[in-house]
Amino acid sequence: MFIAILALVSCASKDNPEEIHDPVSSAVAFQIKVDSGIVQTGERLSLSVVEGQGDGVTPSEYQWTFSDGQKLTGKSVSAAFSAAGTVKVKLEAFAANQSLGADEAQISVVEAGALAPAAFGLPQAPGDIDGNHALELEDALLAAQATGGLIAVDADILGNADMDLDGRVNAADVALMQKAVLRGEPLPRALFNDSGRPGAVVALVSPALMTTGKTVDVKVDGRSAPQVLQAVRGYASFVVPDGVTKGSSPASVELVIGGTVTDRFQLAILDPVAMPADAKADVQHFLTELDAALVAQQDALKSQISSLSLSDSDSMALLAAGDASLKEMRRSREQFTTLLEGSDGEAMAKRLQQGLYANGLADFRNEGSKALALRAAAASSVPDPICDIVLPKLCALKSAVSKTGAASEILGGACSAVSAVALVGAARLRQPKLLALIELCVNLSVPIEIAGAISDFVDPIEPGLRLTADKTTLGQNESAIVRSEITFTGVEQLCSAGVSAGGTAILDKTIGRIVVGRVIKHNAALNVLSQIFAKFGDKKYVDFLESYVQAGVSNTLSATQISGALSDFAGKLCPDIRLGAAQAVAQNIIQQPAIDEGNLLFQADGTAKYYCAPAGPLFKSKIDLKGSKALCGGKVANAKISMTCATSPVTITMGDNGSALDDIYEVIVDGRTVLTSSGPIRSTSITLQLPRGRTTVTMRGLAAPDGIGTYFISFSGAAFVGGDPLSGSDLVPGTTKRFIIEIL
Amino acid sequence: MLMSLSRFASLLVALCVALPASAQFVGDVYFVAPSIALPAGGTGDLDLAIFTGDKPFGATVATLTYDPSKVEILSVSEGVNGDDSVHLQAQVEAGTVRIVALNPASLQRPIGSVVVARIRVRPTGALGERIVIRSAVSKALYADRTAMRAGSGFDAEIIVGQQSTSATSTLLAADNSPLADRARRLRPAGSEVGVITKLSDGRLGEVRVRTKGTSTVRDR
Repeated sequence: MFIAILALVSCASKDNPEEIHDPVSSAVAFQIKVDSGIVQTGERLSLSVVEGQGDGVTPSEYQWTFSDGQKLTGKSVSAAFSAAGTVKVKLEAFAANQSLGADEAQISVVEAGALAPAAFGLPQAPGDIDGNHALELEDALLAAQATGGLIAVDADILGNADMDLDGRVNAADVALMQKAVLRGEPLPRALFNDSGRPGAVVALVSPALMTTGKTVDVKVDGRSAPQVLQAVRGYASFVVPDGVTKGSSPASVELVIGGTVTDRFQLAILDPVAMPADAKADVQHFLTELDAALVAQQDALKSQISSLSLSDSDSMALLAAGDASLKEMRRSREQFTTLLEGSDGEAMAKRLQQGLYANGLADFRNEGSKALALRAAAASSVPDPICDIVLPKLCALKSAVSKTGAASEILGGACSAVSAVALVGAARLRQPKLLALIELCVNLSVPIEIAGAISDFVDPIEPGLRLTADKTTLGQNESAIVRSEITFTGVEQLCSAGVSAGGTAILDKTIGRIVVGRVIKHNAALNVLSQIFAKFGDKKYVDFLESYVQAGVSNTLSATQISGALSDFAGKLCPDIRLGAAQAVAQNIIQQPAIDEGNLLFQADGTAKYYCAPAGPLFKSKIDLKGSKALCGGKVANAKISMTCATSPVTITMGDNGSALDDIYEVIVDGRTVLTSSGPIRSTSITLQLPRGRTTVTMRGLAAPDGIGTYFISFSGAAFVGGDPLSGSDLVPGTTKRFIIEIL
Repeated sequence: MLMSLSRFASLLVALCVALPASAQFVGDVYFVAPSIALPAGGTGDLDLAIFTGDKPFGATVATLTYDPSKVEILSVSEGVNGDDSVHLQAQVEAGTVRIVALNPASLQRPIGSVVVARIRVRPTGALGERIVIRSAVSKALYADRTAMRAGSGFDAEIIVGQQSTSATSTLLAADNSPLADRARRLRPAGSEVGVITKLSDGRLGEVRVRTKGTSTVRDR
């Protein structure tokens, strides 16, 4: 909800919410008054002096000094700023050339059209990880390596890679960055939804949306979307218009900026969903489901967190917050029920019902009917703290929050659709009913969006299974320690934010970003809502948004409680999941290999010791150890690790031994280049662990500018038993030599 | 040297043609098997590789250009290098394929010749036509994110027709023959490359052509 706030702040600032800055010194009897603390580049900002009760000396001159170099005089001035950033303002009062004192204020200048400044947690330079203000190949590689766990990148900086605005950085974001690099553009061009029905909210990203000051329209098969929300530069969400029908091919989505089509996308239009005829009952049913989802989430949160040793006071606070949230939702529901029973109640219910189904209510219910219970652990399992305690807790939490996350999306979309239809549709609702409906949306949104934000935090934590070993190539009579691990992809963000920086960091940075992303992608109505409330002079929405910004939502889970809960959750969970994985008992997971593939001895510490099979006619040098484990939702994860037995060190040396040093070669073993050089080289070598028996080594010519590739190759620790000559002058690019060696 | 003589007629043709010095150095992009025969409407794969030298591959942006009236690009998928793979995004527009390949899996490998993309093609040209796909690299990074030198791009060619699978006649190519020209566009000077061409009996077969480099010093 943060995004719309900015539009609102800049709009509303022209009417009433002027800011009066506290003076630096209480002795100074004047203060700076500014129209708004946030201004866009090029926009003129009025500043004036508010005089108070002073010591009787009346200032004769006021001097304004801005940190960007501007200097103005006068009791009221106006200034515009050309560059985004923070501008400090100093006001100094004089009388008879004597300074009477000063006041200072700070103004945030945002790029024109960039409606969300950094304070709202959104990437200010989408895709820019290396700090050069551009999305380039280096940034995509950095993000890929960071998401792959190869390098560590500061979470704030990595947040710039959150291209799909879902509050986390993952492979989907890297793919979007790659798409932008493909075109050499500052943003990718993509729809965030593949399909939708009329009334559904769809989000998109395009560099064309970085242009400001022009009208933005979205047309689906030629029909204009009833509302388009451009809350962040480069991004927009829109409501799929009525009248678009499923065809043999996807619908054409056109982004039209200033009357010009800048992008074309495809959106599969889904068949309409059959809705129960009794709209009132159906809407009530959804509200009941919403209630149940909230209850389930609160229960899951409370039980998981408290069972992980939350203090009594924290647990009580959480309980109280959950109860308050439910109470608020139920109060809104009661009001709404009263309205439904009045005149226009049926029309109101119909509209809301249409919006709910357009945004996925049927799928939500289908998903809910599936069995989400964890598959019971095998009866013969050895007790396992990770698999028996942590994993089920996580799975239960994921199950609970996914429900509220989905409900949040449905409700947000439905409110968008309802307000869009109510404003522009043929069947306009009468004003009081419309306001009541919107109030329901807003009131329900408070707990549900926070619940959704929590769900977005927990939901991406995806358990997986992997097998590791202290070594995978074993020499004669060697053994390896094999571990089975439950991985928790996505937990790094929670753990790093929750443990290192505390819960406040989660709330301020990550949840803020998640909520903003949710709004942009799932709700296209907030600007409409803000306009309605501004028009009718109702400050409720303004207050709500402001309270949200301050993370001090009064009538539901408080900021402290949320951050505290998440911090505790992370604090208890993360030590067990160092580096995103925790050891599970190997005996419950890894299958004993066949007799000719070696032997596993399970250890008391949960590991397994692997021994290669003894030499013999059935001896296999390369075997795969396999494991499986039922994870969340009963989904079975499989993993394997390849072991190479009875290896010996073999040193391969190769190079250009001709009169001219001008050739480049590479040596390949098992399909992988193991030895090469960046330029011509006389000799280079590598030592590999290779299994006993015969191995084929390939040497490939890569450079021979004179058409003569003089090469040599030698093997230490293995006998050369056949193949091409070990040296020659015909290994030019495009040719290969093969050597068969035997390791004894 | 073991060549696949059993399948195709082979001939090493030494070509004394003055060329700019060129070699398969770091940053070059090229096709693993650059000359292939496909019947009209048939499908085949071309693997695009980059040579990184002894430092691990990080990322690259490369472009392929082709005549869309003569060949369709059916798909562009990730290249595989043993157990290592790259993450690929591709954009196919009429006449151009752009790819961005990243290595998210390791800071140590792969090294050397790294296959970044597999391009599935379907020729639509006339029987016997030679369809050229050109490659160029605009940017490449090592895994440590330092820049790789901008290398050369080499071509692939698709000969429309059915390649003979039996040994046929041999062919002598003149220094300035079209065959030599083709070979030089598929591999750097001083290379040997299998080129699909019409043999003396009229069938399509592979002739291995070795081009001469420009070094005046004979490397013996």
